Amino acid sequence: MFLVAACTQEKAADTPGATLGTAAPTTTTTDPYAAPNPIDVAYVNRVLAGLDAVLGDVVRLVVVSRTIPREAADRLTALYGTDASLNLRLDSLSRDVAFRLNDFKQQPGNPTTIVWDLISAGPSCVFARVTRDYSAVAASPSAEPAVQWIAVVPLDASRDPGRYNRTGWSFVYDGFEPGRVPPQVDPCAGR
Amino acid sequence: MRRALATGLAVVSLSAGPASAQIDVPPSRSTCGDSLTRTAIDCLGGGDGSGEFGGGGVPAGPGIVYVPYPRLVRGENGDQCVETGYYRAGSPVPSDVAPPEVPRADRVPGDDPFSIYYEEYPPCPAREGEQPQPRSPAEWAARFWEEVLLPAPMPYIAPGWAITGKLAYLETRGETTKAYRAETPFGPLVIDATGTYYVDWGDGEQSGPHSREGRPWPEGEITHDYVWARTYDITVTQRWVATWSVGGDRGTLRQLATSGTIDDFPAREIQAVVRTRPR
Repeated sequence: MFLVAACTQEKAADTPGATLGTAAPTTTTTDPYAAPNPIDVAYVNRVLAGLDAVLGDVVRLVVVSRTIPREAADRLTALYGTDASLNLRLDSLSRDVAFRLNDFKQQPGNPTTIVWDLISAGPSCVFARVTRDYSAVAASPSAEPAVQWIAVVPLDASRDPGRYNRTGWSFVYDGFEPGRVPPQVDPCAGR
Repeated sequence: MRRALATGLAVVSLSAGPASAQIDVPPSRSTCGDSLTRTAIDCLGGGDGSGEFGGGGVPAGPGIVYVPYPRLVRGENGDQCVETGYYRAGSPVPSDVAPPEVPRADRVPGDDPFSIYYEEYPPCPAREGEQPQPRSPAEWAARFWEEVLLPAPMPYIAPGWAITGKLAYLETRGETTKAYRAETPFGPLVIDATGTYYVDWGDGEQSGPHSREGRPWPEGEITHDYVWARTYDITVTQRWVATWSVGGDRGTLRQLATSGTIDDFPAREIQAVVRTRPR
């Protein structure tokens, strides 16, 4: 509608007989999550930002409702590629809710995950050491960025019928082993 | 490692006790993750990820106390359900939350974190070989609600067929309210359920909600006008909502549904034929 109005105004300003533009501008859209070859750090950071946004949406739904509404659970299901990783996050959120979300900001933003080291990257799996900054979510300023490891694989569309996750990737590993060490087995091995 | 439960108590102690029931804890730890505020670390199979407890699972010892909390999980069938998790009292998270289990003298009625989940999700089914042990009034109510036999509509349209262009009166032949009672360790449980009808008339039209029973002509309010003479599959769905109360606790339960059908219901066409008698 805005474009139409702008064109109309431009035409009105023309003098009679003036030649108008001959071709309408074309718009090309590019998928920001189309994987480059080879997959690089910039791309993985872009994907992680998209996944962080989904997680931020979940946090905001939970903070507003003071529970885990079905939409939040569905968004989380779209974010995690395995039920084990999903349930780990659900457990953590459930306990946060039981504690009345005391440690959350009233208006939380997104966590921020940045690649520290791209350990392996391919079209079927990406494994990286990352830092995750929780300061936009946590009320306490002591929530410093934490080192952890992530592995993402192409999203199984059946886990995201609501199309909440537009990145095309989902976590199959998101965390660390006891003692905050990397997984002993490469989560991408065999993928 | 085994975790001991004290059914009906506010906390779960891992110190060995002869009166305690016991359940198995997954034997190994694996992936851990920070909570979203980085105030806690959660690990698959329990533990806090610090490595403090060596072999994994839930640490046990005299004086270690666990508090139950409702935990949403995605079950094996792909649906979300609510089970009971436990956090270690006092660490690593604040301990200013009242233990949610009853009966306990210092328990505040209505302070039941299980309630909010059962408005939307069912309780997880008990594991094979285990009996469910509800930890709160809300869990008792939710488990009972999943097991009650709700009335189902038995729809009928007299006299067994309809006439196109004339209203068909659907009789629901069900119940719109139902009360259930049960005894629980927390006191008498009362569930008041209310059903509302929704009708799929089989010709692409739907109607509802209908809060009253469908009745025959002329007082019935659930009616439909079929246009074409053919047969239709009519489905009547009754959506049930319910509230529960136990003593000073109360809450809402998730919606359930029952249904009834009329298969191959005929709508017939009647044509008027005017004859003139020859003189």
